[in-house]
Amino acid sequence: MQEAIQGATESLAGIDIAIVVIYMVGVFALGTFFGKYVKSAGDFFVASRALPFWAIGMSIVVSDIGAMDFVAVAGSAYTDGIAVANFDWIGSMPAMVFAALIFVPYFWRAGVYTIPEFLGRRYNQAVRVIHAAIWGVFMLTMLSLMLWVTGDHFSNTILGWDPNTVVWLMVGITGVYTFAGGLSAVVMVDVVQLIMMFVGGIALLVLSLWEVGGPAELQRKVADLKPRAIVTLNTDQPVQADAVAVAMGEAGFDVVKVIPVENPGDDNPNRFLIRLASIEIPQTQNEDIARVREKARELVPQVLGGLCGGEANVDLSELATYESHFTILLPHDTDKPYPWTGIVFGLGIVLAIAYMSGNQVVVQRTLGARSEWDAKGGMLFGGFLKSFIPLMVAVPGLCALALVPDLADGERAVPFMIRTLLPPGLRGLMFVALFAALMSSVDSTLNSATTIWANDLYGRLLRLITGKPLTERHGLIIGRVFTIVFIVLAGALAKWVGQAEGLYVFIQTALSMFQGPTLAILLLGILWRRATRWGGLAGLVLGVMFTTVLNNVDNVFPSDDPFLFVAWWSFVFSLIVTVVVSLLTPPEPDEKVRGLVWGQVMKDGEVQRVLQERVS
Amino acid sequence: MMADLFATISTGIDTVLGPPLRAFFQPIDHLLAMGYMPWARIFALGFFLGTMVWVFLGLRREYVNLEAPSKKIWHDLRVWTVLAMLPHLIVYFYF
Repeated sequence: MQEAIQGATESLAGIDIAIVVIYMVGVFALGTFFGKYVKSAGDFFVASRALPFWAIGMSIVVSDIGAMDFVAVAGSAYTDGIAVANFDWIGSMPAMVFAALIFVPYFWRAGVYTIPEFLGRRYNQAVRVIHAAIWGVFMLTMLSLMLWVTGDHFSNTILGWDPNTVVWLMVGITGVYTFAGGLSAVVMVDVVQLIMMFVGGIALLVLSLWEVGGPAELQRKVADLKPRAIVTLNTDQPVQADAVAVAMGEAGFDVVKVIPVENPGDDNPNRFLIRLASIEIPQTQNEDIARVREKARELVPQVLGGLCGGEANVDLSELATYESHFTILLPHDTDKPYPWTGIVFGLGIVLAIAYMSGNQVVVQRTLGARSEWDAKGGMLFGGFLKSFIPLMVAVPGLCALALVPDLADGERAVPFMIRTLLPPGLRGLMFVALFAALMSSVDSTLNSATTIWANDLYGRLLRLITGKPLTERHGLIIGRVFTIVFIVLAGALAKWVGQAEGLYVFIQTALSMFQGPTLAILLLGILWRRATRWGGLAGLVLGVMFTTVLNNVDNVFPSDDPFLFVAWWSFVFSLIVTVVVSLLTPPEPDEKVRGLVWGQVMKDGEVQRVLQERVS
Repeated sequence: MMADLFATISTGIDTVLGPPLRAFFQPIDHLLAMGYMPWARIFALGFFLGTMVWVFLGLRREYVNLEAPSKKIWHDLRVWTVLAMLPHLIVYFYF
């Protein structure tokens, strides 16, 4: 397969390279052009509040989708089926409606630059600083990771380019135009990038379906696939594929073929893809499919343990059947990572709403809207556009399954499809689409990280030391300084962060611990006038502690990676804690919450006047 | 060193809080495992339908469309919401 991917590079025509270079130069020129409109912190951080709904919607979508999403989501569709599309359907559209019509109007009317700033006004400065610090660190780590993933996994693996060169090329291009034009440049470049991403994605979708024979044929071919298992035998002695087939056959399995496959990042040659006529053995006939799969999971390591000194030396990394590959809602106790209960409650109600309403990268675009209607409309338009993403990403993954069912690693599906299906010219366009997805994520994260660090951490520290707030001029200077420092730092640390798997997992876990509690206090802060500063602080802190506990207790939920369930229950817990503590503490005075809670519809000017009176 | 510390804390949490949490959550898991289709589809479709009904009937038109460029139907964000969510209803009904 490595040869297949490297073939993509070898078959890159001059026209493909020319398209990529023209695109890079064009994006750089467009982004830096907007620098001439930036004169203050407001211009830099919220684009002078002049963005139209269509630019906001397009920017939200392209900021959210990274280059590796094309590869990883297609890979997940290849392995686990269409259920992965839930993240862009039930995990996006309803959440974006709630964000547009509940959260965004209040953020926008408050005239804030960041979500922590809103939380600081609604609750207290401790909530603001905690929230800002977590998001600030998370975004900087993500910046490094995005750069490295692109440089190493994407550019090096697919294009054969030197990863460090690609990282510093990305640093140079995105850093300069984000430094010059701030949010305006980021959003307008995102608009171009979304168009390129859709052109490339739709081309891949159409050609993939054409090759398979259409949607009905795709469903038929996948349904006809025989089950497969992927095993790694941990032994120094080379094991022959024939020996694996014989051992499985003796245990009663109907083996179709055994193929040796390479093990990415590991020199162990004993990794095999086993295609079975059925996962049933004579002893399990007449049992239900869940029980048969469970028995097969136990039996395969036992059977192959004889070839490598015991079942503990056998890793069964995949046991796939295809009867539910076109089922979007999977059972609660499924062995795939997306049970319907987790999807509806954990993803749809908690994680998605927390992400769309509490993620600075998403919300910052709406804070730059030219009117409240544009802020809401931008979010809704973004939700509509996002509905198309699974078609461009997941469906090609399923088509790859129908065309090449013996790929050991699902993440190779998209590189394979690009190499085999796209003609020269269109292939260059597809690479542009992937670069667009990457650069838009980098520029948006950079701009949002800068906004949080400048306003909520540096600005707060400045106020504590000097007693004076950040001025517009000072804010612009510090915003630009942070932009340069952060992107250079992210480039310098990219390789280290990319290879420090533990660090990434730690940061991801820390962030996921905040999602449920953050949504609970945001929701109550806006919908419930009685929520107090102590309620908010207790809900956030105790909610995070509860999440930590749930993440460290085994066998509480059916899934091996129960993040969807943890999100739901931590949200419920924080909701209860915030309500209880709020009722036990004195209510906030009217003047503090005026314009910040539901039912107090005021026009922007009125809110600004009220908030100004409060500050002065 | 740090890894050992985290492992010790994790084990401690599991030992002390594991039993009561499992006693609370596992009956819920068993209950949910028994109900799959049609409940999964009803909840998913209900989530979309409920959101559409809430936006169209539960929110005031003036609130949703504050500062809209005009009162024309194509500037009504309630209509946008319904149109954007309709394809999802079809997908979750069909698949």
